[in-house]
Amino acid sequence: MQKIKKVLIANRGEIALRILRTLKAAGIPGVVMYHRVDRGAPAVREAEETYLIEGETPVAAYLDIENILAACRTTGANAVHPGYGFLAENAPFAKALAEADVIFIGPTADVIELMGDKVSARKFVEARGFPVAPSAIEEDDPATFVERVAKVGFPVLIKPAAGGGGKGMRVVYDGANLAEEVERGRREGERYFADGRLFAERFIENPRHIEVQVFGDQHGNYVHFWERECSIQRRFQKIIEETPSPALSPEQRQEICTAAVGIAEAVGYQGAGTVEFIYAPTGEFYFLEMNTRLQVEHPVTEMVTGYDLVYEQLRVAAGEALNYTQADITQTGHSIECRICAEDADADFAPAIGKLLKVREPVGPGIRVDSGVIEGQDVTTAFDPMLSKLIVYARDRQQCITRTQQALRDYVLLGVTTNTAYLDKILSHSDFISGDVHTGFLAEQADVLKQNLSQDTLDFLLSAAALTDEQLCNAVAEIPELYAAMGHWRN
Amino acid sequence: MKREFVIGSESYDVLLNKALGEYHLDVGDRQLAIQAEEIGSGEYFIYVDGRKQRAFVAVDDENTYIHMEGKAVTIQRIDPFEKIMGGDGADGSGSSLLAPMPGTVISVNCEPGQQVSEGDVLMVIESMKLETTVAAPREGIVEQVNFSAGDTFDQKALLVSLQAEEE
Amino acid sequence: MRRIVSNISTQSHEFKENQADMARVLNEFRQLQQKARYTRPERDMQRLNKQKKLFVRDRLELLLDPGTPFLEFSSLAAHYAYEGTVPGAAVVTGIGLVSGREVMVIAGDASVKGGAWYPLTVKKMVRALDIAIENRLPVIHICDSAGGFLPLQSGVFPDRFAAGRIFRNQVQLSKMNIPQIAIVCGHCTAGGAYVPALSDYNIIVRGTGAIFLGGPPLVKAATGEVVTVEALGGCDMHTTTSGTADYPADNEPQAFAIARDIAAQFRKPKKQVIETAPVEAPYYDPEELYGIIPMDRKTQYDVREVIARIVDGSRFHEYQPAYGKTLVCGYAHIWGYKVGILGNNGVLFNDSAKKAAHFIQLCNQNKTPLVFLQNITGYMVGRTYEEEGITKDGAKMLMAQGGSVVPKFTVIIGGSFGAGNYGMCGRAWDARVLFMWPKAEIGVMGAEQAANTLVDIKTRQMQKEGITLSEKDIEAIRTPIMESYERDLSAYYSTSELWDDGILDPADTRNALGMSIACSLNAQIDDQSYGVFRF
Repeated sequence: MQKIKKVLIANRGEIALRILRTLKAAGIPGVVMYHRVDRGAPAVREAEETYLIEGETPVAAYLDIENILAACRTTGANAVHPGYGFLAENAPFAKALAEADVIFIGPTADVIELMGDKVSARKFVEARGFPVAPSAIEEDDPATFVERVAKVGFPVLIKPAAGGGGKGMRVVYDGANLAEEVERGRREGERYFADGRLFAERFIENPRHIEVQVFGDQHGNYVHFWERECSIQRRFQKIIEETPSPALSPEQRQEICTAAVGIAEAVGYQGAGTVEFIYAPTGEFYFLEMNTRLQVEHPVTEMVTGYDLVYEQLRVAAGEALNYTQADITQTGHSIECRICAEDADADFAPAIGKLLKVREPVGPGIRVDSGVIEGQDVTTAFDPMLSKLIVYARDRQQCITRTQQALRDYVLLGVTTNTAYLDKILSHSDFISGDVHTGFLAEQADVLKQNLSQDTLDFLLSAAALTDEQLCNAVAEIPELYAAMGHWRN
Repeated sequence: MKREFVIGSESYDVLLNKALGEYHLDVGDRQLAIQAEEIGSGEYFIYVDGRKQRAFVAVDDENTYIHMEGKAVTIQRIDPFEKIMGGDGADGSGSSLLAPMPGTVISVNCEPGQQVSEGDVLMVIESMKLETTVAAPREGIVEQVNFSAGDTFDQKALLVSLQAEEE
Repeated sequence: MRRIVSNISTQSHEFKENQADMARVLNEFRQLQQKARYTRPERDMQRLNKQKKLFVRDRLELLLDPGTPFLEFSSLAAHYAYEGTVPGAAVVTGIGLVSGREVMVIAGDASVKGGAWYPLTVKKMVRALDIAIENRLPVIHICDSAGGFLPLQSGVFPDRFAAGRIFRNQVQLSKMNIPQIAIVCGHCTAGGAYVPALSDYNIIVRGTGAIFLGGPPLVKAATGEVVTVEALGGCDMHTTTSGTADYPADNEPQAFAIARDIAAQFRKPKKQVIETAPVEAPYYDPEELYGIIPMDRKTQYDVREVIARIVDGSRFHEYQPAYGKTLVCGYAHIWGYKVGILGNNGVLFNDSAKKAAHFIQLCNQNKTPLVFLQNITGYMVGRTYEEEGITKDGAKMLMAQGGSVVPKFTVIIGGSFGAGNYGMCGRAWDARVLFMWPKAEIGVMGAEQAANTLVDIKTRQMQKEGITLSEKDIEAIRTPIMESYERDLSAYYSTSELWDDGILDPADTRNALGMSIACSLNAQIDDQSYGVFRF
């Protein structure tokens, strides 16, 4: 790894800290860049070297390629780890780094470009014989796009060609408002990705989201690290991921993983990537997209395979060859990841803000917390609402579920509304326990998943709230004892 | 003394009393004998009618956050007397358009002094990756526009206000 | 202190009979009280509603600390007066807590004749202010009155303890550094205008509150000037221009919240320190009093059974248990406060009177408040007793009782007749508060004795004229006398005329005394001093 002297972490939150930890363990100096709103973040505290960036908004600061190039020049970092989000899948960024002679820890710019565009990715994959769902691509002939979308068949999913993360996606169930929805989708695409091109495909009812972790080096070696099931989504965003998928038989698993490695090989993929599939209840699977970066949910893979994927990324980026074969990568036990988000699940997932007044992370066998926050930190809407990830490992799925539930219950996060109780509720659902879920599961079970407080719990809560209300207790103390004892007495 | 505790969409009126060394909480028509023992920083044993629960509690100006029985609950505290004191009947006429949740302004479609009709789009905002329109609740004249496109705002921020209706 | 051992069997026939009778009496009392408090002509309630004014009882709840008691005085005042059309004498008075401070509340009831002041309204207000002065209680006036009731102006205006006394008492309170708040919810006209003006703080409700010496009709009649209520004495004028009112409020709830905030600024009183003990509930259930109080007032019973159901832990240290046994004296605690109790167990003899005088002096020397439980027909009469100096011994008791510096509290639990009333701290003797139980009676003598006396006089008169009255004739004379006497002796008549501070459910006695004692300690107890005792 001599090629990599110093790594600039071009990200924030939990992933910045997670990357920093691997760097520290590997003895590679790391630089954490940060916007001033993140100055209290744990990664900034733990870093030996930090670099302050500026921008019109905090997000803009992290998205500013010039900031990062300047950071590399100033700190002498010769490699950049982009984490996920921000510039992780930005081809011009990868190019700019290459031009500045800085190693981008990720695939090459042209692979990012190819796979980053849903339309081109799909064409590429389809052309090489991998399964894709019926679709319509606006670019092919914008004039007939609406007609062609209608031909794909309803329900149809319309999404920005350049999109990701659920932004701007919409499902249309009939042709009545199609033109209008297409127009809205275009506007959102323009706003989020500065690219209004759309893409439509058949919406598969009750599909599962199954993805495969793939890896390639610069020497033509390709492997997979098995699959992850990410069907538990709210608003098209994953909140619980697990591996192995309870849906797959060993044969299906082999089939889907093999397809994924095939795609990686076809594009000449380098580093960590993820091939996402739509998995229909009937057993077919279709290529959805390829994420050319480290995924949020990569830790579950680490838990069952024992590999540190960030470390493997560093090795590949340093030009080293994979020093293991597919046969070496075994899937042992079960792992579940829960995304702890600052949001109110009972209020339509409205983002929550506030100061984290108390944080107490769960501990115990098989429990890993990748957190981007610490007590005293302000949670704002400047960034994604994800605060941390709880990753749990156990020998089997059943034990893993109960262990995760206990960890969620032990996870104290006060001052900002989070979804820990909601996640616990999902894990308690009999369909989740039996593995019978799909990407629409949360929306479908919304009523069942609402929090309810028993009379008994309510009594304790109100009592705790009253007794810790200093102003109230002071006012109560003002009442002479005799009068308090008489209560609301009237003669 | 009274408090109104709000949990989600539910509101609970309680009355706390301390008599002969013991706290009593009136909830509805029930009275609970209660007690709190601080066992660590922000960590308590809460006793209700002799039963015990461990709780983590954090308090800020507006809310009490309690982690108990494996889940966190946010309780908004309202002093009924202070509520009355501050009660000047604002918003009664639907003049103030408050943000339903934190978000970003996508576009501003009105300006102060402009005459608008009921249902006119005054602003387009984006929260949670969804676009929402802020429409005029009634006919009137725009009094204030507090944000520009690209601005972010917090929940309950005053986005647009209309001039008060003439009696 | 030892616990009193009760000799009452709650299973006995007698107990159950008494209980049933008391249930009937209390039911009647509660109904009358409920009616006096809440039953109003539909028209009056609608008017309040239209004016966006709250009912006086709702105002009290907004003012008082939630979950705390309110000791209301004379809820059945004017019960027999004005053909019963002025329930509660159109004013609510009582002691409660506001922001943790003990206060006297005087709240005009605009649902009765627009809150007009009747003679008994004024008497009740003056009494409340007297209680405030004696106990150094801050006063909160809730003003909503049409002014003096003109047809009865002679009973409202001219006398020493008539309306002028209200303002005189306000001035006294102010001199004594006892704060007052007035909440002007309705009109304060003429004299009534001085209530807020003489208060340290006042709050006026926009739209409904008004203060002026003469209202718009009077102004027009006097000078021809035409002016609106708001312009003449409304909220904005007084809070911005005249400075007569201090705090404007948008509505009544806000006005009461402001009043609470003002009360929170009051200096906390330094209480007179007396002996106290940890509070203990009575060992015997106070509701057992219902079965103890005999159906017939004339039936003698042991006052210790009453004491056992009022005092902490039913514990009582009896003084001179073997001497002067018709008067029980001793120490006990009520809501933790140590008190000296005097309770009648029969007619007062020489020894019981001397025992009382001695015990009262002990209490004064030790600053122990006194509680009188009156059930007394008088001092013993007859040659033997006069020879033994019953009048002289009675005078000793009066001298000691009347010269007391400690606060005194009287509950008339049975009869209150003749000089017994004096000795046992009747109304004229400045008890801080005086309550009656519903079956209690008060007068110079019992109805029967009075009727007999009168029939006797009549019979002798007729005999002189040579006429002998038949049994039937005698009954015809006797019955109306009995009836009118019984009414005039009753607790209801007493309370109607404000000879007491209200009728109490016996089971409420402990709380009523507890609050009264607590409030009395706002005033420091002087060193003892007496007049001359006749030995």
